[in-house]
Amino acid sequence: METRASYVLVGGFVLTFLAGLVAFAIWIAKVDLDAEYRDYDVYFEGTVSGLLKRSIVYYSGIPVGDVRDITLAPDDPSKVRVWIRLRAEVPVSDASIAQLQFQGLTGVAYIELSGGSPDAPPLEPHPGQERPIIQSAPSPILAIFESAPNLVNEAILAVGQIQKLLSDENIASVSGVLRNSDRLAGNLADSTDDLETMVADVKEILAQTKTAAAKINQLVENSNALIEDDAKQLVTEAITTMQTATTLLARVDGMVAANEGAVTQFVNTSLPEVSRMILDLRVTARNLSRLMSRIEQNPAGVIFGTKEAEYDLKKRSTVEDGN
Amino acid sequence: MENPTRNLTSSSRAHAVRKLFAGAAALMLASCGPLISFGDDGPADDVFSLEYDGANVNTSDMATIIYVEEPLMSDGLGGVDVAVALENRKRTSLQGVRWSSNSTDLIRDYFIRAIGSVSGTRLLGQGAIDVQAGCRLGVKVWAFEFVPGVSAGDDRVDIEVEFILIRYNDNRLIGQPTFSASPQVSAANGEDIIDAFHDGMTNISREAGKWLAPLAGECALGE
Repeated sequence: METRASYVLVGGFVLTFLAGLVAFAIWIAKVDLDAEYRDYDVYFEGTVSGLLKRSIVYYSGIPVGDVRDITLAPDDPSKVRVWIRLRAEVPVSDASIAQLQFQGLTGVAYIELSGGSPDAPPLEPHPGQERPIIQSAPSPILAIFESAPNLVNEAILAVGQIQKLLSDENIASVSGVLRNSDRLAGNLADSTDDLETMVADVKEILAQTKTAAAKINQLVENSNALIEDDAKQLVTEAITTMQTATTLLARVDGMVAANEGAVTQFVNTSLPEVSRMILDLRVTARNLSRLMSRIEQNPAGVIFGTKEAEYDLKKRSTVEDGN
Repeated sequence: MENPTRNLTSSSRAHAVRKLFAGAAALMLASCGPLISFGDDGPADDVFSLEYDGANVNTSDMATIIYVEEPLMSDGLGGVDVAVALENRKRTSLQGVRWSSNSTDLIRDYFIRAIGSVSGTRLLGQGAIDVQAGCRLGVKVWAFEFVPGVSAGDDRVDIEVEFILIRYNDNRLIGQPTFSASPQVSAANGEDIIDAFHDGMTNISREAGKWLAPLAGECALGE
């Protein structure tokens, strides 16, 4: 008798197996079916050596996405455009910074995101852009690698300077300094007795200084007494003199106040007259000086006139005086 | 006792000696004639004045007073002689013609009246030295002379005067213009020459008055 297969049972088993297989594949692939993603572009200056497609993108050390594509920037070949896909809940804003980092010394590169705030509005693409652009910052490790040649040169230079410093001549000089220091220490040790003598002298000097200070103190006290006795009389006389001067100034002030009008009138009216008078006196003095010079040179000419030609209108020429 | 006859003889002798000395002195004085001359009488000079012929407009403004100084005459132009400028920088005076007073006084009085009338400003001269003034007007005469030409029709008179206006209050120089005039002499005689001097002074006074009128406010007392 032929066994009748249970097709329902077989079909159910197959379907259950397939469903389990799919679930296993999903579990293996770690596919998060409920996850949402957002794509961004990051433009790096210079090289992104070590960064590959599928390289991981971290945010505060947590993997939040991966690199989808790496191409040259369409409008600027000196830049590299990296297309990344991040989980939608990652806070990306204008303040977010993408930086290229390296894992250890293996050279495996990844992108580290920092900054951004959950309260900030999400980053949106600008018109004409496929995806929002996250700002990038130069990698400090790359900067070190770029400056490494210079560091090596500086190190070589420093080694050369150290070699010059440690030349045989300098070493000999240092040796001489050390020998002199040793000799000096020996001399100090030998002159301990002299030091004791010197300390004794200093003590004597301090004692003399103390005596001198006492004498100075006594002198000051005597001066104070002198000032207290004689200065009182001096101050009394000075006060009397000041009182007399004050009285005199008061009288002068009263006299000036009483004649203020006259003084003002003199300044306002008489000074210009004096000025004019001085000018006239200067003219007069100049004329007198001129006259005196003429008298000294030719007295008769001053009194009786000098002989000079005059212009005759009828003859239209000069004629001698008297002709 | 003395002899009267002898006394009489000695007295007449002394009288004769005195006469002799008097005659000798008279002779000596007469001989000094060529040495000391008191001038030739000659024909009398024609004496002319320099007066402003225009109307004397006396302003009522007592707040603006300018004191006119005695003019400083350049190149010996002062005195009563009428200066003549000849060729080759020669100078002389006009024969038979002279001013009625020192030319500095005449020029000063002329300007006081003429410029005062044109500008409407009160100008005072020597007689008002004790009057408080706001400014002083210095006058420097660079030319005031008759210049004969080649012929009588070319004769002219040159007058050039520089004015210096200074405020008393702060001794600030307000202005320093120079005006000149060279009127022709219509005929070669004293009257026409003096008329030409009057014409030149009238022109200069008119120009100086125009210059001074807007500046008079700077000389107001209390400024």
